[in-house]
Amino acid sequence: MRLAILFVLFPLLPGSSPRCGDKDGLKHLVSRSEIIALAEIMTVESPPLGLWSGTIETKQYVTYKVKNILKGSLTDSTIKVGHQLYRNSLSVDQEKPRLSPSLFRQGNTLLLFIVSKRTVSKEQNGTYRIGEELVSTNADCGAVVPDTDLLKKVEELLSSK
Amino acid sequence: MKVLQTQRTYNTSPLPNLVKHENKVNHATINTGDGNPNPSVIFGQATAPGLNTLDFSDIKLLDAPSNKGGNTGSRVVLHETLEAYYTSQPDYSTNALLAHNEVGKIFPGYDFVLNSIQYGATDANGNVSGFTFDAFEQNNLNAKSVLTFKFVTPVPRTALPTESSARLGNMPSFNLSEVKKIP
Repeated sequence: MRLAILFVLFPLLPGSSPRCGDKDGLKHLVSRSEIIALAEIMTVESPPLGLWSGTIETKQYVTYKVKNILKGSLTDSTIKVGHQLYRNSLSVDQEKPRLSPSLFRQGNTLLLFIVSKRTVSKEQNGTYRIGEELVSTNADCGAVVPDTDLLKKVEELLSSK
Repeated sequence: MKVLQTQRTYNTSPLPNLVKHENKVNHATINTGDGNPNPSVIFGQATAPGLNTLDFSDIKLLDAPSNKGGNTGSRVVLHETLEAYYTSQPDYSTNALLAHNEVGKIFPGYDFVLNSIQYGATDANGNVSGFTFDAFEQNNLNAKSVLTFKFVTPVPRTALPTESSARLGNMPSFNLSEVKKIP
């Protein structure tokens, strides 16, 4: 029933990359992701570091309104996710160190594969605060257009467990 | 494995523990740069599947005589080289992030500390010559470093964003000038 609803919601969207729909790769992605959700982009922050990932990983943050959770649980219907900026990966701009403006556009609904990761931030008093943030499981396929074929494969993998 | 600049080519098979089978098709390539500072790279960058770029003007700072212990230039080179090697393999070619995390368990990269940019002193002309940024070795909160960056040209303090809103992406051009490991 849930799958049928998803097909109705996303019948005409362009297909996701074949690289992200590859059977083995998708199985790995589904199993490693703590949360898999369909979510609509509310805001896309500017890239905080302005550099491609390397020895130091860089990310750009996107805030989503969660529409449907396929795996895991969330306490809030609004989430902020850090998407890594690996040069030449499928989710980034071809020129500048930023997310693909066409994929990450306000109003777009994406299928997210995410995990939680430890972060460290500095407080005004000079101490460090350890927290957690949500980040893409995969720099290429952590956020993809949810075409019906991909959703069907994900549902099959989740139900086969 | 191909190293640009020196044009030396190696077969990837001498790393048997890292691959499922000998692979004579996929090669890792390391761009070692021209020795000049590369403002778009801090230590190293995953440039494309099977290709990483190094900035040796940054990397050598890790081995300063006053900087014993912790991460070294050699380990960062190994991090970047193995990352390129991983992403040259079909299983990893679509996942530089996974390669970064896997390699980081052995040869760590760095995690920047959010909101930790601090400007240096303002000189008599009202200019700032650079700033610092805190970082921890990947997966190791006991290994802190303070990275010092110098602006290519000193910048009027009034032209810079506040420290709380400062990001590397909205700063004038800079290069890494010092790495200080905190015991």
